[in-house]
Amino acid sequence: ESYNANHFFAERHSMVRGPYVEFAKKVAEETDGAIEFNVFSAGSLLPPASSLQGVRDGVAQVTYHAGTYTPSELPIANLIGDMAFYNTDPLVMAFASTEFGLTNPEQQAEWKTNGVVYGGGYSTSEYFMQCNTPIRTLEDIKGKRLRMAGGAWSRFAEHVGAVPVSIPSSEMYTGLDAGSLDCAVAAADALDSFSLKDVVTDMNTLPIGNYYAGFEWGYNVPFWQSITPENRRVLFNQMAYYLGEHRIEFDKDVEKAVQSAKDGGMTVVDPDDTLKNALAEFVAADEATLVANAKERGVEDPEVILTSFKALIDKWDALLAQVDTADVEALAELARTEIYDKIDETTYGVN
Amino acid sequence: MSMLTIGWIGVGCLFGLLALRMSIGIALMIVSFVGISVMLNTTAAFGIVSALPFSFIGDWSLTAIPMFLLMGFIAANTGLTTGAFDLLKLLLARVPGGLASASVGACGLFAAASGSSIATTAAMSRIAVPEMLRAKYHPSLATGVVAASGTLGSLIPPSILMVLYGIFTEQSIGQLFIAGVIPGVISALIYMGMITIRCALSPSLAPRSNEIFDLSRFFGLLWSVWPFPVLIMGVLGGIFGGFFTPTEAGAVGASLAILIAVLRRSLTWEAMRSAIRQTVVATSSIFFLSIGAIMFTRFMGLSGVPRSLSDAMLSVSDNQIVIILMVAGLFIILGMVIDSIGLMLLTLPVLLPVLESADVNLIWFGIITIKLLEIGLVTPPVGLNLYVLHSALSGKVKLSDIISGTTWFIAMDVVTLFLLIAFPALSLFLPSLMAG
Amino acid sequence: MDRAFRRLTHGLMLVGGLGIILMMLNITLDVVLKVFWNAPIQGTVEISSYYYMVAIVLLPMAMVEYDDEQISVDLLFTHFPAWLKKTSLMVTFIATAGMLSIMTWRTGLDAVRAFNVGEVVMGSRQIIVWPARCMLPLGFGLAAIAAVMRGIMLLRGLPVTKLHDADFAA
Ligand code: NA
Ligand code: NA
Repeated sequence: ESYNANHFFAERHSMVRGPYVEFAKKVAEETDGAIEFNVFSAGSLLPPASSLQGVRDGVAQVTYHAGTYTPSELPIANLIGDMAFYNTDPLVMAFASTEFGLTNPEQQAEWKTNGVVYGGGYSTSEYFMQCNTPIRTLEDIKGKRLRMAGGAWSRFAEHVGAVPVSIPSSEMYTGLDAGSLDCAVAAADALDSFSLKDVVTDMNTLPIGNYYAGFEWGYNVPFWQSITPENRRVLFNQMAYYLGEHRIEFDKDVEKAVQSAKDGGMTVVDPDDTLKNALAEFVAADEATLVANAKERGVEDPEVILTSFKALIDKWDALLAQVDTADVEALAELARTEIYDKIDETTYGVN
Repeated sequence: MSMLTIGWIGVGCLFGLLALRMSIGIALMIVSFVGISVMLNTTAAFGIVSALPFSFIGDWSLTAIPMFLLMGFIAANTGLTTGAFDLLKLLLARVPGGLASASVGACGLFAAASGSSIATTAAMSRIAVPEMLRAKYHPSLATGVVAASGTLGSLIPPSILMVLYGIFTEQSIGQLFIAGVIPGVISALIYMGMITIRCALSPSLAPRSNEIFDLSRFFGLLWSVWPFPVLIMGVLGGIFGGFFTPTEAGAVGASLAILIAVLRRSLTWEAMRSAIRQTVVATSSIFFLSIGAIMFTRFMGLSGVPRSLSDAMLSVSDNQIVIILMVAGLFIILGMVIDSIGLMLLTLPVLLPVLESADVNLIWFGIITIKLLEIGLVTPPVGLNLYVLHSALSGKVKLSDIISGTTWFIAMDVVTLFLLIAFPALSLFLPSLMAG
Repeated sequence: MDRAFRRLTHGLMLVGGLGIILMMLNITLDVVLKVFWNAPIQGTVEISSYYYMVAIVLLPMAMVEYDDEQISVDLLFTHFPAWLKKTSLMVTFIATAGMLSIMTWRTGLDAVRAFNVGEVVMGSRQIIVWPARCMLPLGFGLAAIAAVMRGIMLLRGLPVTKLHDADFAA
């Protein structure tokens, strides 16, 4: 039977290419056509801010959702998503947030309240400052206009004396080109995918977090309950595979984009100590803000949640250090044995 | 009944409802709502109602539309542009249809400041059309020229459509921008040529001005035109100087128009009040229609009509030119009922693999696509530019006149399109300089 | 009744007009402050998109409907005989009122939900948006009523379109 899958990135993006387009093909094969996802990309089915609502209402049966769009509906997911600086290894954050989303009872309750069955997480590659002017030191960054993804990123900009600007990603190019923007802070595949390499002259490799708020796969509840446990297992196995696959592909795209921007004359610099220290200072100070925000949105024990999430991050940091992180199969195996195999397909999301 | 069948029935019903003089927005909403209910279920249909309007209206880049409308209404209501057109009238007095050609030029200039065709049309309609009507130009020519030239807003950089296309196809937005310059100028020149020939053949379209060129009058007018270049240069200079983004430019332009009117002592309460009322009514009605259009785009996407049409066409041949001609046909047909951005989002995923396997240059194809989407902006029933113009003129010109006026320009667009397809260098020459 | 409704829709249109001016001033001031003092007004993007724009589009909607300013195609309509014109208009008013009621009901539910969770958006600042959500059911709802009123006017033989056809008044 045919169902709708929704993602608001373009079809060529590493988060759609594998985890949605290929995923749909494999799921159709392995379920013998019982589940055929029709992939709608680039927001052609649901606007970015409405994907959570859309999957709840059954406009789509599975969707990607960027958590920052719904801070009030998903306070816990946003608390977790805002922890973007504790560990900036995207692979670790993708796996840790996935395990958290599938197993943490408070988080599970939050998904349920919002009418969605959590399938698995993701993470973008590190966010870097991509600028039309050299940024090397803390002094350089003062007063600069940075396009920020909101939340913790905007607070970081203010912490270092820069001016956070919130504009849609489609305006990054013209902003940098015309000079109304000094830097775009985003994953560096934007050099290619948003053509920023035409207008960016300098990139600083200070890892300003990475984005993993929300979920890569969230399922419509009636859909999830209507399919057989065997087919749920098929979905689990495929998500386990593409959890690692999208990370590898994403990093490859970034590498390619950076290389071609360098060939075009872009300078890549490492941050000096003043910048690194400023970031470390910010990370330590910001946790209080995270906790306060979460409390304001009605989360009862944000500290406890953060502690358990940090434990998961540390666990995955250790586990992933022991595998070849370029080997998709090895990553998939780890995701299965450590996460998905422990979940009961006959009960998960059903009760 | 298959989803595809439901999609086609929906298209048929849409035309039926429109014939009843139902507002286009409501007709689109009803067909989409009922269509999605039948295809999926009512929960999903309600989901579309719930998800789309708020996120559509709450899109920052669309704030430019009311702002550019306001700028145009203020400019027109305070007589700010009269001087400029008096001068152009004087200069082009001997040229048949000179005022219409001057409008094409002004639209082209404005397009270089505005990223959107609709904003360009909105801004220029109140500036240029009343002047032409006053000079006894035929209403269909006076409006057709602005509706069509307004579409230059997307072809001449900056261009929101090109940004979206560039992101979608991972092509350089900078190269796309540069690539649009020559095709934009060619489009404008072809429009002007057509205007001149038509007006020379039938002078009743555009009565000749009997003004005699008088040097002292020329210098007098030269002084009175200052607001027009100040306004355009303020908007253009601000964007290219990096002071503000094309989206912010609308608000700055409106403020500037008010400031100029104050300096010229022509800002009356009445002018301001009616500019605001006109802006509000135009914005509200345009967005109402657009909400319907994006719901319909979702309905089309779910039904698979665009996909099945493109699949069918692409299975015919793998020759580059044949494919591009078929895509052109497809876009012109779908462009009648689907809005430009939606059309691009729904068809490109299907088209891209085929274009790549036929080794089509995607910058070149991008320019062709933009030109085709522009044609869609002036073809009824979903032709936003027509309605922007119609409401900007507060209904003074009949919609049917506007539609018939644009047909000549659409014919010229087809000529331009053939030139662009036949001579890829028209699009690719400038980018090749940039790359080299 | 008719006059009171007209006054209400006109008043809401003026509020929308106020939104236009405020948005212009806010964005312009933001640009000026950014250019000269590097101190943008935080939240300009979110306030413009979620408050000014929603007000500009939704609040005048009833007046736009009432005054027959919605965009429609009258190519065929003008050639209809009088009875068919009347029938078409009646069908149109009923359909419009029906569709707008659906929009009102659903966006009303959304507004309630948004109020309950205290909906906010994250820009550079956290901005509360649930009050903006309430403008949707208000705008759609009043526009639905406007369509019903036009239907009643049609039954009473009053002119309901901007086309000044003599055969309507009769
Ligand atoms: Na333009
Ligand atoms: Na059209």
